[in-house]
Amino acid sequence: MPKRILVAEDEQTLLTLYGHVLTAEGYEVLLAADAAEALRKVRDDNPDLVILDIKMPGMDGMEALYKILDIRRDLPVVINTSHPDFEGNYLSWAADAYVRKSSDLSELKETIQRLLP
Amino acid sequence: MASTLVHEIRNPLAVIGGFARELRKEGSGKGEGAAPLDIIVSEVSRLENLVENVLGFARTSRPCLRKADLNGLVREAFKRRAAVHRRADVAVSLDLAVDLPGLLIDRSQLLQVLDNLCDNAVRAMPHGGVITVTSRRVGEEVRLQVADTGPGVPSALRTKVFEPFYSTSSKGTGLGLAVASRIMDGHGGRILLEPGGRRGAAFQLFFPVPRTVSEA
Repeated sequence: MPKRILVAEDEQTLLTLYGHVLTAEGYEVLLAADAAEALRKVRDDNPDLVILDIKMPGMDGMEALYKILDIRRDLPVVINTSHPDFEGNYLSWAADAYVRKSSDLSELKETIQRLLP
Repeated sequence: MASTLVHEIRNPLAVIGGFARELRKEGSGKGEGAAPLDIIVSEVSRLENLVENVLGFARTSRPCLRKADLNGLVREAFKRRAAVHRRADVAVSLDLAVDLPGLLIDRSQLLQVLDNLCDNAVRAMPHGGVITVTSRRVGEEVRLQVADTGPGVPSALRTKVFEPFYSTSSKGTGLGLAVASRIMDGHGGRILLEPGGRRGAAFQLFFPVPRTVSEA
């Protein structure tokens, strides 16, 4: 049974890329175009891990992180953003990892493998 | 504003480069098609580095200094870079002193400095090599040295390498060491290119030991 990864990201092209890459890695991928949709899928679809963008319209990823952990305290969350300003803060947000967005997805893949052995 | 601009540029770069990497992995670029995909991947990486370093150079904000374990940050930096070094056939040797005092460091800025030094080292060793990282307490400072086994920096260029937009590599942005130098200034420290005739380049970061720690 493949592990299920939820990707919350407001850029459609990035969602398409992550869906393609993670599916090829053998994961079942759920996509959410904003934080509200991500919260619904955390409640309803039982993901094993969440990849969370920070800058999203409406509810941002920071607020979404706390709400996700309210729903599932044990759910691994990887912050994935282009904004370098957040890097120093992610530990205090209770996320499990922080991966800067890049065309090279190897760090993201290795982080997922570490969190979903 | 700068970080918003970076966000707007980095996302499409990630998409372009990410799909090019996938196409290459899936074999879409076999034969004559391989070279264009390699070029796209390489040029996108160069733009990503440029964007990162322009942001780092443009930032005038003071570092957010917090007490930190330098060796722990070094291990974290190299763990994050493991895939890059593996692909470039670069081995890493960490020789970290066990008795270092806590230092006042901006974590994300130090990771940027180490990224820049290691990117330079990888570019200097296109056929692979070794990066050796050494930490030592030297009087009232802690010295972190990052050394590679590349060809080194010619003596005539040693004073130029920290100048903005100066690069000996067509792949470099010419900002990595300038950013590193500015960041070290913000830490009350400095960065030097080790003098001497050793093979390879060795950059040394010096951090002041906080007074409360040095007096303890």
